[in-house]
Amino acid sequence: MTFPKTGTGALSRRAFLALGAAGLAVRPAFAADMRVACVEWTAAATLLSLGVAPVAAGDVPDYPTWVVEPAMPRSVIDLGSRFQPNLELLVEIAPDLVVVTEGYGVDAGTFASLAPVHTLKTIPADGESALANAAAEARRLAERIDRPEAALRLEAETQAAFDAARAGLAPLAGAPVCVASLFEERSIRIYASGLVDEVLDRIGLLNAWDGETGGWGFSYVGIERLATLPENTRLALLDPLPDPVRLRLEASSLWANLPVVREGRVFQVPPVWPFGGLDAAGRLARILAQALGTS
Amino acid sequence: MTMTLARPRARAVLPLAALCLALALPALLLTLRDAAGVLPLDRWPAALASPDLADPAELLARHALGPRILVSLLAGAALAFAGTLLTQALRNPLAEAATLGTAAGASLALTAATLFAPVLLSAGREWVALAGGAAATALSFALASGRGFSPVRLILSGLVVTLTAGSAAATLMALKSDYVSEVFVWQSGSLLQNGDGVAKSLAWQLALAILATLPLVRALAIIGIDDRAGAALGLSPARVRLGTVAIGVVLAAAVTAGVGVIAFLGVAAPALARLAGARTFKARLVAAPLLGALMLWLTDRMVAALSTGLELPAGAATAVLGAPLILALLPRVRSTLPQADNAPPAIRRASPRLLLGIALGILALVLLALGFGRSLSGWSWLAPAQWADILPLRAPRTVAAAGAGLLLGAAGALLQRVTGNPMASPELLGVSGGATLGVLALMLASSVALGPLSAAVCAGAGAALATGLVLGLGLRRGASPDRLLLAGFFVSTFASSLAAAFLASGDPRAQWLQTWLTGSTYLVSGGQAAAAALAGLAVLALLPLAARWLAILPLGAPVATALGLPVAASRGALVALAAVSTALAVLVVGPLSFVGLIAPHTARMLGLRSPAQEAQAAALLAAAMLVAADWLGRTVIFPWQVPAGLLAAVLGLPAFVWLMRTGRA
Repeated sequence: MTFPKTGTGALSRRAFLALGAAGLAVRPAFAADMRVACVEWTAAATLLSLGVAPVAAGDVPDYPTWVVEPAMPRSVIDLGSRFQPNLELLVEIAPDLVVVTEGYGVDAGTFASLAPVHTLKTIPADGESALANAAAEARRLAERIDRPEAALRLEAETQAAFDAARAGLAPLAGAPVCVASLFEERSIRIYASGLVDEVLDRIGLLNAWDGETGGWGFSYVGIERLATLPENTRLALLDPLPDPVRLRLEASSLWANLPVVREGRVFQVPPVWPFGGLDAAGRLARILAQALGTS
Repeated sequence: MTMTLARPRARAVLPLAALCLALALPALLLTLRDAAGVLPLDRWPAALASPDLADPAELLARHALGPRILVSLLAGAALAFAGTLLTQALRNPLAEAATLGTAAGASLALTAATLFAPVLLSAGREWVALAGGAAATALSFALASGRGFSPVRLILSGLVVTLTAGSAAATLMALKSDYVSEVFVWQSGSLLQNGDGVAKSLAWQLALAILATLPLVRALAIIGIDDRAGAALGLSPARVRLGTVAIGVVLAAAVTAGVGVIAFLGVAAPALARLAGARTFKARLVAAPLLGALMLWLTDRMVAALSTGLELPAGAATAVLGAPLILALLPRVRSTLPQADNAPPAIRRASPRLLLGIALGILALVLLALGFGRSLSGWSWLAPAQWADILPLRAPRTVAAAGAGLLLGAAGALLQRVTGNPMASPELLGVSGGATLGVLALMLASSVALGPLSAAVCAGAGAALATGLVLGLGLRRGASPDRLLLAGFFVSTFASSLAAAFLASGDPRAQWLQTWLTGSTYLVSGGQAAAAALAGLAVLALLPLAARWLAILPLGAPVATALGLPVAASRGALVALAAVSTALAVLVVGPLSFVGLIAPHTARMLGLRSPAQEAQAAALLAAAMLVAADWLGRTVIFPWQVPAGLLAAVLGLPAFVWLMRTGRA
């Protein structure tokens, strides 16, 4: 008798998991087999940086534009919008775990009847460190997928990235830096608090921006505010910077005459997901060290 | 002689001068305060003439605040100028870029280009905006000219186009959500400047428009009074109108390209100019741009003064300030509007079997929507083994779409009958807009995440309040159908401006609001779906009871009274039923869908003209449309999804234009 190959695999895996749940001490062997779906990118990137590829994730096509690293394997199934992941598809995939991110459109309750749910918290509570939160969340997810050692490794890698960047940036120690994204040529999104701010601190730089922020830790202000940045501030503009925006920016008489622009202290750097976890923090440290280290 | 001539002129100029002073004085004081904050006032002349750009303060004076003040004046003048031309040429006191669909079309084109083909914008935003604005305006005219052409009809067509373009833009943004707040900042009319580029181009665009208008002024002044008088003087009224409308549309599209959508100014400035004593067209052509410039200047400075960090875009602020002004003006405006066209009160018995056929068709459609779909392996029917897994996800969405359709279709048919206006619908009456406002009010009042229940309560309250307001304004002087619709129009526009401002604010809940506004059945629970369906069936069952009212009311109040019908009471009851139905439906499929507008026409096209049957058929057809839209939205770009309400709007409008053009509705 023959069954479709995927069918048998799924059956045996479920049977084994049932055994595991019954208390047999062989869980690490199945952990690699755990099929995890992620609703949005921070969850997917955190999972990937723990060494596990998600079986499915929200908005796979745009991931390389905004997050880039860790690279998403081609095998990952697109779940559709990160704010409205396709529930029928999710049921069809039947993951062992769905990672939902708090404050991200859909809430965990939507998935509760479809699959086991793990909730990732990416926005730290008031006064809490974003990096400490990201580390704790990575640990919690690692435990949930039975890879606690992977979280330790990720933390060590992130710390190493900070140390290397700090060493490379030693000549600039304490220099003011402003990290921002531009989506249209009149306004700028400046990362004021949270992950970006703490990474700057860890690699020995000073966040030049101390303006007001919203819930996501950034200020959205007119570009004229860049005129009053502290002297010698370096401005790191995260990609993607759409071409027409760049062209119109170059045509802008205000932009062209901003001190930071006239003195050549604007650096266009590769994309980093500013709302990400430890992996994004490490990537930001590496990218800033590379872009600013030679300046 | 000169004395007697001078006296009336002085009288006419006096209130205008007082109004200008009242606007200019606070604007000037605020500007001086803001200017001093950037650079000591005595250094401004030098900074503007020959700035030392290495000095950040002088840079900001010359390339940020200076241009921003100038742009607020120029954009205000340009919009008011365009509005004056359009109101005169179309003899329609409510014609302007925002009411003719021009601004929304330009905005949709720019949004689409930003998200999907940014390369188009490299040559300049103006061309993209102009193409979109001109196309949308042409569509409004095409829609209005199907059968007879009236000012009211043009405005309502413009509203249909505006709302549809808005839906289409929202659909695009739902697919590219990372740019949402950025696109909205621009869409909602921010006057932030990054140099003097926009100010320069607006200046020459306005100058060109004025030059192009000069040869038309005399002809326009006459045409505004009477076409025949113009023809007697050897003018071609059609050509003069077309040329004038073209100038107005191009200028308005240019402003949209430069600063985004700034609603109501084009209507408010000419109306204020008229109130302040500018009785002739020539006088308004000078006074309205002056007032428009001062109004936008003051609005922008007030917004800047009130802002704490995240700034309310000036375009949203003009809508917030302008909407009540327009509502207050409505009773005056009404008297200058010609009569609305009445739907033919044809009564013909259609076979009840047709109604049964429609009902069976819908049943088949529901089965299709439940059973046939897409999965990883492609298109397929649901196997019985999958029912338990998939149906709990599909059924609430399909049932909710059907229920909301029943409610909206019935509401549309009722409103069209009661107002005697074929363009009436829940979307255009402002009921949907009111529901949006209710939810927004809750979001502004508290900072907590919204649950489905609190959203439902607020949407219901908002819809009830808006309906009350619209009815209050519309019924004050003898239940005039047009005023009802116009009041609804401004409630809708007000709601969408406020929603855009909230979406631009960067509030994390903007995403939730966006999901709801786009009319997705994604989050509908089983209970909500059942409630919507039961309510829909209840309304369907109630309709035959209103058959006599629905047959007699379109004949007009005198006839109805003569036949012994309590006109005000019966109208009130039917409108209240329509409002309640709409509020319930909006909770499920969001404020935009247009099935309430389209379905009654489709029912009449099928030959169902007896009032109760027409309304029942409209309800059933609207249900079919929303079920189909929901099914398409779930499957066409699988695994991505398009909200049912938006898809129904985007697909429905072209169908509606076609129906109106062929005159079969």
